[in-house]
Amino acid sequence: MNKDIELLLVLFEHFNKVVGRTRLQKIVFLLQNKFNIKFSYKFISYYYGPYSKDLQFEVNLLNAMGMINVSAGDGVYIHTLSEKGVTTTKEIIEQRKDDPEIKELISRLDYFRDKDTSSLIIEAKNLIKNPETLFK
Amino acid sequence: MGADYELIKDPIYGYIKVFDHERKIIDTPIFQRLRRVKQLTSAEYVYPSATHNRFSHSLGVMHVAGEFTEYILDQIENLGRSDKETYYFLMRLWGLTHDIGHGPFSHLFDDVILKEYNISHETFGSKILMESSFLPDSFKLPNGGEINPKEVAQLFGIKDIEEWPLIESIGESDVSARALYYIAFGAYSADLLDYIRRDSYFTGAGYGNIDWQRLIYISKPDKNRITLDLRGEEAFDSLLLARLFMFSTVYYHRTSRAATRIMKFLLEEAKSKRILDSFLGNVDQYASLDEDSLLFHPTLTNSEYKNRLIFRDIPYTRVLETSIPIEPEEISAFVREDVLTETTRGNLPAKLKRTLPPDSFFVDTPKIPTNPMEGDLFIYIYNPDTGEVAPRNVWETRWGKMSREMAIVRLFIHHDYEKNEQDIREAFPKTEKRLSFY
Repeated sequence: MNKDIELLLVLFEHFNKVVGRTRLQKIVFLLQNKFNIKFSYKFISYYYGPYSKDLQFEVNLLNAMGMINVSAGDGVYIHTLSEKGVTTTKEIIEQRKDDPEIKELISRLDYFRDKDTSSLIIEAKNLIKNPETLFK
Repeated sequence: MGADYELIKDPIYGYIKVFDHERKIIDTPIFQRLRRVKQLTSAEYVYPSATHNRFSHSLGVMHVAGEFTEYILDQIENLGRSDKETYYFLMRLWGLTHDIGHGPFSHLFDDVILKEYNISHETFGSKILMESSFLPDSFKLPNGGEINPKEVAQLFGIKDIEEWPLIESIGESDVSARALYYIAFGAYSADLLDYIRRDSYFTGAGYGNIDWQRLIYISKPDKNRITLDLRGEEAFDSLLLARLFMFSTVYYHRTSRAATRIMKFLLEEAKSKRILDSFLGNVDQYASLDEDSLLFHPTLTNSEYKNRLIFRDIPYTRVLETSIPIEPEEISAFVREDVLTETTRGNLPAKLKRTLPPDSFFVDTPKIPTNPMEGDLFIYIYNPDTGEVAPRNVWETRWGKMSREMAIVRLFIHHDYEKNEQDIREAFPKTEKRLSFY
């Protein structure tokens, strides 16, 4: 399993559920770019802040593999770990329990707990290069 | 909508209405440049008539978005004319301007130039709409209303329903403006309905003869979404097939893909010679950047790549090809071009490994998800007998399941290295041996 996917599973396990693709995108962006967690996604700046196609691809992949369940709420997607996902994630955490990378990731996740999505969008937008950088 | 308008002749729809405030956008340099950005970047090297551009496509999307919106809103009881017109004109403006940020060679420009700045043509389009001095500060509608460019700009590059900014109720009804998301980005969006038919017409490929009006006329607003009547399912499935065949025969045609490679080299050359700087000084200078101004830029007069494109001298031949339907559980490293190129190089005889230059061969693995919506999984099917709505996984057609994704894997060899063809072919990993994702 690739490294990004393992980190994503740990993230889903920690949060129980992630409400919103937009929220997930901004959390992973901030983990990668604010807290230097070693995700390897390429983010592009959009009207609603940074977005990574590769990240969305891997979330769809986790869903197709039966690791997470994605349900469509009222105009929002809700992500939860499946039973298979819980088992797999426990194995990953067990195998990598002394891995500083996993510890670092887990220690950063609580930062997002009380932040609403719109504040994450603002924070992420401030951190990504904006279109102005094209016009030097 | 009864206001005064002009008519523009179009081979796909017969006539397209253009209202005065739309004409004011069309007549600006920043919009006119779309005449010099081709809709299909490299298809004309295979299909000589496919020289149509993003200008006519934009008019087409405006037309379809307007028809679609009007039809959906007509089904909402007691909706006032002014509410109706606001959404109608907003969605038309989105259609008209949705491609305004595209650079020369469209998606390649995103990949080679804009990506480096973490932006896309959509981000750039929003910026143009809000800041270009060619465009008005406010779009004045025929009914006396106004639309702020920002209201249109915020509809660009939406990734899924979550981001769609229109969430209010439409008039007094229980239908939300969220439903309009499906007109712009749904599985049979106005953009898709136009480009499949337009590209099919101009290439002559013929696969795109879909019943777009049936899709629209058999759709209904349902609270937050648009549902498709059961009786329209065939029209929808035929759109999915048309799209797939358009990809395999046109968008991903082997010669077209090889030409794209040359365009990529040309853009890289333009970047390294800093030709683009003067066009990217501010949003208004961008109006002068298009495929003609780039190809005929004095600094590129003697460019090998430019001359190859002008004279259709495409120096690559495809020597191996396979098409692979991909199921998610087996999404494999096999269809990654970087992995395949590296493996092939690694398998070459030692001497060749050292001497063959990087552009002597390449592996190309374009992929098409069979679901036209980037990440949204469902369309909603309305059963008129029971009044029930059931979600359908897009790829589960009425007559069987499509693969979630299709990939075409090709090995191309540069004409100067034809003598090494046998060695390169043998070094290419066998298609049967798919590598596991893990």
